[in-house]
Amino acid sequence: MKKTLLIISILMVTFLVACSPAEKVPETTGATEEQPTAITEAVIEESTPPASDNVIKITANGFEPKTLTVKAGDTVTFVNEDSDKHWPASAMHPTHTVYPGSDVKKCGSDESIFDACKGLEQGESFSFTFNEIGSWGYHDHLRASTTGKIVVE
Amino acid sequence: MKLKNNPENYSKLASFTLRVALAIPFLYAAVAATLQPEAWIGFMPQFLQNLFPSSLLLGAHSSLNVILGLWLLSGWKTKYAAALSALTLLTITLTNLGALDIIFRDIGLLLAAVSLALLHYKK
Repeated sequence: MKKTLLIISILMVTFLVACSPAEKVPETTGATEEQPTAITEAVIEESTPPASDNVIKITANGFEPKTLTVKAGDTVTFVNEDSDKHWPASAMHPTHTVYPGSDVKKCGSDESIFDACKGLEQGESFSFTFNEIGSWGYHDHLRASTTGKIVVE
Repeated sequence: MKLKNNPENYSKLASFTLRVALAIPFLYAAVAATLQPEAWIGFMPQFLQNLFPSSLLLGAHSSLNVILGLWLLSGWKTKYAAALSALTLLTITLTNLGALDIIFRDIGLLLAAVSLALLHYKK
């Protein structure tokens, strides 16, 4: 009996380690710390944003593309093409604190955070400049199961 | 309650512990959803959000949670309270599989509810 319990415990620990959410853990490289502090911008626009490769469309099916790889300092624009509201924001729901400096509590302040801070209407867009290297999960605050990832190299 | 040499008392204590363990998150969720509705509406299935106003959904969700929490604490017909709790937690888990990083705890609670129901199965 004790042997069985021991085996089950080892299997559970192995399973948990294997399933740990790696995308939530920012890659800690020296490059991030050595980079000069860049101005981070978060902008919400009501019209169609300028054409760019770093555009994530939000549709009824979720974020497209689900994973986007960008360079540090690039700006990513989320465009709501759905008739329903969508609210892109940093993981993790509902606090949005995974991306450094982001926090849902900072909505309404002048600070730029990876958080649209409101449901985007159809045609509205939200842009954010990623200066932190890492793999950053995000989600739709109004549909916690709709998720995506920005990989910043 | 004297535990020593009385297996029945251990069983009662286990039942009480499980009932409190399940009631606390249900009651917490009810209060939190009322105080911070925007943080909770995201867990509601999309088809329900399309059918009903957010306030109605969250109100119903909070009411169900309060009923379950108090029912579990009361110790009345625990078998049914645990079964309904398990069903509720199963629904929450299945409708939020995309947010597994957040709702993984609900799987543990679901199994705790099943354990409680089994503990009271013949009572």
